[in-house]
Amino acid sequence: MTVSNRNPDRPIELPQGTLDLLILRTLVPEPRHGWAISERIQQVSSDLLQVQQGSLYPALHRLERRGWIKSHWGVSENNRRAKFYELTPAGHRHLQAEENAWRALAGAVAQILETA
Amino acid sequence: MWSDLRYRLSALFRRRALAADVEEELRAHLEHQAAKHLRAGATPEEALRRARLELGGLEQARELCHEASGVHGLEVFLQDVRYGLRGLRRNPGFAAIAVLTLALGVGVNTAIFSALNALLLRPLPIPQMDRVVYVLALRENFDPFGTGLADYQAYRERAHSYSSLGIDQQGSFNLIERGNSEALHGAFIVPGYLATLQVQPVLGRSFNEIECTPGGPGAALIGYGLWQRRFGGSSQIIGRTVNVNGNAVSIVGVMPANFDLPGETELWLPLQVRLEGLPAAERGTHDYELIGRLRPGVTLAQADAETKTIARQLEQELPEFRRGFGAELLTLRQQLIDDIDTNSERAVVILFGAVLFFLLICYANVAGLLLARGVVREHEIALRRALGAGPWRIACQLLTEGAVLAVFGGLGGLVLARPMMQALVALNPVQTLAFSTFLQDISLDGRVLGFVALVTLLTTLLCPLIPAAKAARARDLTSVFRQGSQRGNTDRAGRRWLGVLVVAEIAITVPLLVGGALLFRTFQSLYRVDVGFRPDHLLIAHLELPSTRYPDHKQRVAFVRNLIDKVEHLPGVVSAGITNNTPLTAVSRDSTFTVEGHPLDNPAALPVSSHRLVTPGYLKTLGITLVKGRLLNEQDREGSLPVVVVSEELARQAWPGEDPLGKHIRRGKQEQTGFPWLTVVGVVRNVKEDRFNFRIDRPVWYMPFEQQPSNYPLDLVVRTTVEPEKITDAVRHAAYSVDPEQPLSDMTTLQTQVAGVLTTDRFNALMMAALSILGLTLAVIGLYGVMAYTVTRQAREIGVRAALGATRTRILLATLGRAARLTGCGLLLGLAGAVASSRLLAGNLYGVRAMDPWIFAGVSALLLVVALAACLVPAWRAARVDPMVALRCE
Repeated sequence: MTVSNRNPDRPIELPQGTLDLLILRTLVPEPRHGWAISERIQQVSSDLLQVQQGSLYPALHRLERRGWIKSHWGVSENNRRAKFYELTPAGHRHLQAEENAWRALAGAVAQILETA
Repeated sequence: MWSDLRYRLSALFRRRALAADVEEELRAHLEHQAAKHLRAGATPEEALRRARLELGGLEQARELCHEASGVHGLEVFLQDVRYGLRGLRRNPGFAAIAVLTLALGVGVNTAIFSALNALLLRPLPIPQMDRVVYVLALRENFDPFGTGLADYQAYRERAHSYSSLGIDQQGSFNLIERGNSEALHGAFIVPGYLATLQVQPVLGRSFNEIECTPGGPGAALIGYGLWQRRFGGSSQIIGRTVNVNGNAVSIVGVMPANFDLPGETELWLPLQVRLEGLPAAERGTHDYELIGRLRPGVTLAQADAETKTIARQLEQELPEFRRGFGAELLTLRQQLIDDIDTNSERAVVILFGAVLFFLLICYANVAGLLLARGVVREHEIALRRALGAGPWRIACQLLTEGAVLAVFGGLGGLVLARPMMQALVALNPVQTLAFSTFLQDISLDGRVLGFVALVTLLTTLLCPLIPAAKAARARDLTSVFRQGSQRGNTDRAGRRWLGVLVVAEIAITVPLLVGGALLFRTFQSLYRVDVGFRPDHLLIAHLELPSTRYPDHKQRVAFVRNLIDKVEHLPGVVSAGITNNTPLTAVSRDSTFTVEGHPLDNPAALPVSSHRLVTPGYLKTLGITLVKGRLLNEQDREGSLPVVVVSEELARQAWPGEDPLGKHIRRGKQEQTGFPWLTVVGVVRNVKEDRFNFRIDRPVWYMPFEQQPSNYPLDLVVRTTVEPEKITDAVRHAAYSVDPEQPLSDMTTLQTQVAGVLTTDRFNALMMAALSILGLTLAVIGLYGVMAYTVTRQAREIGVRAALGATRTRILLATLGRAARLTGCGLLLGLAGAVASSRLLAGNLYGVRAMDPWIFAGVSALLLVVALAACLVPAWRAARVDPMVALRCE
């Protein structure tokens, strides 16, 4: 619901919580600010996925409320004041669990698609 | 979870700062995005425009962030609370009635729960108090007795249910210290007694084995209060020698503050006895109290079963002393509230049940009020629904408003509970034998506050339930608007629910009224019981003549004669007498009896009589009525013919259908021949001597004190012309003038002692009567409200009917008919409930049957009359509806 395919003809319906997973994963290498997160997702997915920027910030606030990420104000590469987010230990654990769940699900779905 | 709450709360209180943060963050995003487009070659305006477009609207993003921060739900809640408060302010009448009703319900419940808490629940300063039990000897399965050394020995050797056992013997000890003598409640105890209770002296030590063997050194433990009062709380007290009952004893320890087991005890002496080789006669008495601590994992029922088995063995082994006796365990707590028949506990639980019923009536009333208001607010709610509020949202709002009411009701209840609790303390609903500082401390504590919180939560959930459910149900909104504008077709669902509530209220009221009437009748019957003597204007005082100073019965006789002579010469005194036991005390002296020439049909039967040794003036002083023969007189003294005066009940049991005068009877069982035959010289009316058998007539006999050498503790009874309290000092001085070292103790009036027997019954009767009248009032107010409301809502319909020719009488009857239907339904349901609930009361009733038809009929009639009377005003208003006005006002 929050991430859509760039190609309007074939929108991919992504399961709930996927955006959260992507955000958390993006924060693993280093803390980033909001815009950088959306850019990163787009970049890494070879522009296949584009974050609807309107839903990015509520998601960040929600993740912060759950204690998975924490924020601080810093200075961006453009020399502008921006809010940086970083993973908390709880966030790391959550991401690990979510990644495993996602891989298991994706694997199972792929298996069915290939064999059934 | 915790971080979530912290985040939400900080978001709530830093709302403005948070909004600024979001603003800044979104702006930073826009600038970064615009910079990207700039780099790709767009003009600055174009870059910013595209960036804005991609973000999808600043305002929406802001909103979404706000909701995501978790403040939203809390804000809505606070908004609902504010809205609820405003609603109450706008309708002060509704608010006052609802809050007052709830406060009354919560207050009464809080007060009664706090009493229940103090008596039955709150921990006492004894570790795991609920594991400590009291062993009762039961004659013929109903008549409670103390236990003896034989039982203690047997349970110690054979029982596996107890980790520890202890025994005590209560008495009055004369403490003489620096020439000052004082009679104190005391007890002889074995070391195991304190070990079983797991209580240690706060100063010094407990008794050791040597002090508990015959001929061991004299030692004493003193109570904290006594230590403070008589010894100034000095820490030098240990090792000090004092005179108790004429013996020098050394104080070895001080017990903790407020510890006064077994019976308001202030002084403990070691029980110096060696069980091995003790004669059966000494082991077989019933003068002791046995307590035990259950072994971990053993239930009360298991221990009771084992104890009963051992009691049956004892019956075989010591038939002379234990025939006819079984054993029963009760918790020590139960024994301490003097509740060996569990009457008091049942009474408190019944009362608590009744106040819960009352609370339900309060709930139903407030729910009715809310519902009636909800119907009025239908328009508003429909409007909100039309503007997009979901059914759940509306229900939440109504529940929140209910919570506001509930909190006010709860706070009001706490305020109202205070004076009620003070009244409870003053009424002193249950007599306690010890630990009264704890057991009668009816006050707020954490448990009571928790109870209030629970009730408040229940209020929140129950009261607005029906209106909320009704509002949440999907409805055709246009019909509401149309209906609202016409006010014609009344809301049938609302009326039906109101009817249900009224029926429920009446149905709950009926068992309350029936229970109240039954318990009130019980109290009346008990109060009118002929105790067999005139309890007014009688002063009583206790004295124990220590055998160290009065070893010979002749000396005791001389003291008693002297004392009576001195007291009878006091101004305001009519006469005086001595008995070994005044009527209706916690402990009653009994004796088995054998009738000459009447062998027992049933060898297991154990005829027992209250055993009273009295001076010649006693029976006259007490006001006992002679039926036949003569009372005891001055000629019945040592050396003359041994005589006895018996009660009618004893005569009936011993010589059914015969003239008892001149017949012979003696103490002891058939096979015990040690006691002399006594000649019956008189028969008196039955006297209630035994507190635990107050509800039945038990045999009593009176023997001349002078003819029966004994060393019982004694009671002085003085009949006065003035108020008995006025001569206590004079009587005390008279005793000192006979023997300066012989104090009198426990001075009170016999009236007080008699009243004490009925304390719990009186309390229950008063409370139940008050509750049922309050409940009836609330139910009737509820009924009135519904009828008045219905008539107002149906004004148009009534108007149309009147215009079509219905007479006023018919309209009046139709309205009354609806009231009668509701009342009738409630009454029928209530009577069914009352049949069930009054059966639970059966054990506490006296002089009235649980199914007393008069009470059931009376309650039904009362309810019908009051209910119809309450409906007369609305019905009359309905009949007076002017068709023209009714139709025009639409």
